[in-house]
Amino acid sequence: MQLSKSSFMKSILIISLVSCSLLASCQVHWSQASDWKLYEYQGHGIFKLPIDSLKLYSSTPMNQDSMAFFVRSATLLNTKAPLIWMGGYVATCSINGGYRKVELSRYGGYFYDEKTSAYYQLPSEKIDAWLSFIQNSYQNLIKPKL
Amino acid sequence: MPRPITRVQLLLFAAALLCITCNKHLSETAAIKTDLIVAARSYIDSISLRGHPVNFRAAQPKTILWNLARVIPIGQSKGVIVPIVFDNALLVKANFVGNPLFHLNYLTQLLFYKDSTGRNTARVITAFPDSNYFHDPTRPFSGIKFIEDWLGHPIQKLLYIPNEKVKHFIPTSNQTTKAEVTETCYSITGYNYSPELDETVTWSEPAGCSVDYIDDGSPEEEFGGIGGSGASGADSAGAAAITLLPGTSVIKNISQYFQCFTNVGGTDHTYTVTVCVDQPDPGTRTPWTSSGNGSSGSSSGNNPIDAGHTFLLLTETYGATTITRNLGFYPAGDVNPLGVTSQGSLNDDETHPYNISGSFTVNNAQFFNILNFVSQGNDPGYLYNLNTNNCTTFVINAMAQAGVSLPRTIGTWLDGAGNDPGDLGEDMRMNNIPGMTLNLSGGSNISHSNAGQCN
Repeated sequence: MQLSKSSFMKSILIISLVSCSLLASCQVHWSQASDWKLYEYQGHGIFKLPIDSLKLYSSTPMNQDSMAFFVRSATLLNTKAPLIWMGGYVATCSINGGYRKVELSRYGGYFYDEKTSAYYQLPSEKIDAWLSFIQNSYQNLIKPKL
Repeated sequence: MPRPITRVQLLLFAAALLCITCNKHLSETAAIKTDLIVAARSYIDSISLRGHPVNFRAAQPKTILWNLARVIPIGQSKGVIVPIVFDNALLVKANFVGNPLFHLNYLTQLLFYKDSTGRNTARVITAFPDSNYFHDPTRPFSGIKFIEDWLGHPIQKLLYIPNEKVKHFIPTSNQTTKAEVTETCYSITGYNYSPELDETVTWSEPAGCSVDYIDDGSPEEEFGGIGGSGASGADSAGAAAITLLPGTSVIKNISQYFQCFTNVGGTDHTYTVTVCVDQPDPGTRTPWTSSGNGSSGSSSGNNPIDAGHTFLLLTETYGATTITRNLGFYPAGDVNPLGVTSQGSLNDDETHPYNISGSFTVNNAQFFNILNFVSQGNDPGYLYNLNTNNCTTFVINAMAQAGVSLPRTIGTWLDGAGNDPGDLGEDMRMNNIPGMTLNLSGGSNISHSNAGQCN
């Protein structure tokens, strides 16, 4: 009886550890992302643009430290239904040796990772600064240099 | 008879002990942090009352993000380092680091500590990274750090060069004649350009106009890894222009945003309100489209839904002056068909493209009725609702304040229904709405920028 209790506890511990590891491995560690770029394209096809075709559009490197500051605190957003999109920006980054296309929402402080079909959201205290940062980066891209 | 203690029980006991120890350590750290923050806040408040800012950056309204404070060791004692953000989300552009913009916010931190005599000390540290750091921000910081007191009085300037000792600038009255002065000279001047006000304020900082660095042979303390970066850019000696660009996406102060509009009757001032519609499927009533592609896969059920957007373009013209402001109503947080409400938020939509629009010429009273209505969009408790008060509903209701009646066709979507850009766009196209000038060619991301200045 004593042994079976112990085995049960061990199993629980092992299952918990494995579950935690799996969950952690599924999430993207955005703090490791680099080489952020923002593209000039805007329209209703931002999700349908193949990543390879982005080279056809003007782009600008984004402020890497600012992006790191913002995205490192992004958390996986579990939604019961797809989020409503009201316009956004196309960006790419490099992470773990791979190249990713990410769509940045014009509101709400969230972004969409195409590779994992997952949304990530910034903490509320960073959303205003994030939206301003994205828009300013975009304006810097589309407007003549001051 | 007592039962024997099992190994599992022992492990659990050890884990509990560890947790208690950790918690004790954490609570001590938290207490130190809290004490430092309380002292820092009080000290900053007292300084702000006693003196005036002496440089442009110090004079800008700013917020200290106390919730992001970190405790760091300062000699044998401890201090707290806290990010500072500027209320106007200033960006800087420096020609010695190339073209990219970087946030002054994330270059600036407050360091507070008690010195060896127990005296409160506050330092504002602003880091300007150089192109080496831009090339590889993962390496130790290189560039210039300004150390100033809270009011902007320069304390010292540190030059960080890769693989070399930190050098610090010693201000003297005759520094340019010193033989040991290095050739590096950075001066920081610039101007604050506000698209909202369309005005430029030139500024300069006397302490930054000419900087000489003399190696004193001793490494300086690194106050923490701060610094903005961007793409690479070439270093250049000589004057460095810094351009400050305010963030414009979220309209934090709607009164300030509208302050250039003047309420003048008669015919000298012309007021125009344009309803801009970005239909999710241009030219159709489709209320939403699924935005997934092959890689996202519809099977994931997680594809974003593109609902389009409706926003207002507000213009006042008199003489040769034109004031233009873009304004859209959004949720402050995320919304989906099963979570339809969020605090409302007014955003500047000057880069938002649209495919169809309708313009109305109104009088000053009508115009200001609209301004008054939309101004509530940021009010705490004023909610965005995907079904009953979305961006399209908001615009329709705003126009009603001016007596302009737009069709209120209801579209439907998963678990909901409401006004939508698809239907409003087609209603504007198909109906001859009184007083409306229809524009079928839409607007691009650069065709309807904010314009106009005032004091």
